[in-house]
Amino acid sequence: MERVAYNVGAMDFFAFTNDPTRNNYADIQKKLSGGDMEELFNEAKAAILKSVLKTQEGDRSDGFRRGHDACYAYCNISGMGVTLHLQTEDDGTGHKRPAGEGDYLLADSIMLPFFLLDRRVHVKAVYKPTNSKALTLMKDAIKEVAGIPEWNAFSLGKGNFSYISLDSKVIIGKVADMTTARREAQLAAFVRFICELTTDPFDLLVAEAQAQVTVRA
Amino acid sequence: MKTIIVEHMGIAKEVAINDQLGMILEEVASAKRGRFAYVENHVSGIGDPKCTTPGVSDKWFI
Repeated sequence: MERVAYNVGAMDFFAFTNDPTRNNYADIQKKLSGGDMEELFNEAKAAILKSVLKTQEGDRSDGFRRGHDACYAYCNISGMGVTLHLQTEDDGTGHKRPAGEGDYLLADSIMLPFFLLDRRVHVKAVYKPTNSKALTLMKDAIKEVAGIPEWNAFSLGKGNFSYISLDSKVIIGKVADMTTARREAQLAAFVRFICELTTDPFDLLVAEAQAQVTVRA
Repeated sequence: MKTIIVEHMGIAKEVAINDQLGMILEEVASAKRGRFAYVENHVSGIGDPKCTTPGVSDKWFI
């Protein structure tokens, strides 16, 4: 819930600007073909806030949220909320429902609520081109600047990774090269240093994100 | 195969989880606050019908 409150707070910083060096609306402008960009911005911002507040209020009534609730389960691991994506099967009506064996549900993957520090891309994912409406593009543009996608959990499933370490302790696999091992050790040392400065690293990350939002606004 | 108790649609249920993921959850549970994770060759996009080529990357998390 802290994160939802942060998203609502961060959204208040955002205001419309026509300055092309300070916005990312070029593609949206082409789609809108003469419409009012500021009106579209306000509509998109209101829609994002409405969705975030709906989540905050615990309203799970729409079909998307009901489907999501059916396919995910939650557990508490030492005070940290972990989401499990369940194995699903088609229920015959085109909807996914959890599959099970006997009395058990089956976990397909786990999603850990960690904050992404850095990434090194080996193969860039390719997606089919989408023909999104101007409103969707504007919502995506606002979310990108707000950093909202960065709060997403990362998913670990069957064979979708070759190595994982936690606090520099190897859990699964063998690191590919020594450069990576050294970089990992440096970053782990940096994280330990930060943790000595604050009692809660999450507070530090929120402060950092808010500072970035202030600079960008 | 391990099982853990979860909350599913407001009800406590038992979920079976494979050994690899169970091991990760155990380590997460015993880690201190301020944990740091590194994942190599993390594949994303699988299962997304719009994804034609899954992405592969190394990621650092806290």
